[in-house]
Amino acid sequence: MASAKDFARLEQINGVANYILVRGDGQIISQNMENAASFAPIISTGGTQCDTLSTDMGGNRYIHLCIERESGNDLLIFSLGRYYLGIFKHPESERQEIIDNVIYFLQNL
Amino acid sequence: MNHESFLLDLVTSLPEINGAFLFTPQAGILSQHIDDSIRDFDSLAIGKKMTGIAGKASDHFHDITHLQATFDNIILSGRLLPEEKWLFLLHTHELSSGMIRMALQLALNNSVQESDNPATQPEPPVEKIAAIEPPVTKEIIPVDIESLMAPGAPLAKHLNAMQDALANCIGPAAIPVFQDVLTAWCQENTPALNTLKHLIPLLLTEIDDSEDIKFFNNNTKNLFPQE
Repeated sequence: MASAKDFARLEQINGVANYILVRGDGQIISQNMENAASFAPIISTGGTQCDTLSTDMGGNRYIHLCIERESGNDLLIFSLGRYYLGIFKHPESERQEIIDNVIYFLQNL
Repeated sequence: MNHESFLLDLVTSLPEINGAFLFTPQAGILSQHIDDSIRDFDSLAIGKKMTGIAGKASDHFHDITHLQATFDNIILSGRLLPEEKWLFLLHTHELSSGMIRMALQLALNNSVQESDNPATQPEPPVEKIAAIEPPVTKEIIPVDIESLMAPGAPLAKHLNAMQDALANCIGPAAIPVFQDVLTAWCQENTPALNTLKHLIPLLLTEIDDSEDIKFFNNNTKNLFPQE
């Protein structure tokens, strides 16, 4: 597992407004936003629930969840084993581009 | 809404859609169409978990339009429809959000048209009343305006000409105004050449000046096939 410090580089990805890395139990490991504690539960719950969906989806492996919002400030939740990474995107940025860049970032940690 | 025909419309509209189901937290699964290619699929558990996530997320956000869970071989997307029904779609990675919105819009429009036609109404009276509720009480379905107006799209030439004509009448505000009106039109009409005439009265309500109304009518009258 990469160190929490490595995740600070997520800020450099174009379109990433904020990020929160949480453990499955909701404990925050790394973040760059003031009110991270209030969002940690939805990130851990969303991530763990989606992980369990794999069983209900015939064994397909969960990769990420997008909570799409009218404002464009979508919340993306990526699965990292026992950890979940929440990414808030900038409204004007392209969602798929951020997803591709975050996956590339995670694969290269 | 006839759930069966609505889902069938949707699933058969695009080959990339492998299945769909309607769910409410209170009643469970209302209807479903799942391809034989999808195995060991538990739609009830999926509906419960996804709506649970949406409920928790709504503590923070009040503008959620849909949820999309991406798996290695398939995507599960969920949208809240009118009457608190959740529509879940299973589709391949190749299908864009814009295409899904278009397919959904068409299936919804078809279901409304079926409800309006007495010859094809198998629904009990209470559901007929629900289907003809005034538009103000309906959930606004997102419309992919960009795709509708993109070069090469079937209605692009007409819609762009209308937007230009509106801009000549009301100025720079024409673009957001046109998009709002277009969205409203799509809630009640299947986007097609033969329904385009219903867009004109909606646009005219946005023009105050009588001379501008004449100007707009003159600039758009040749866009429609002669009846």
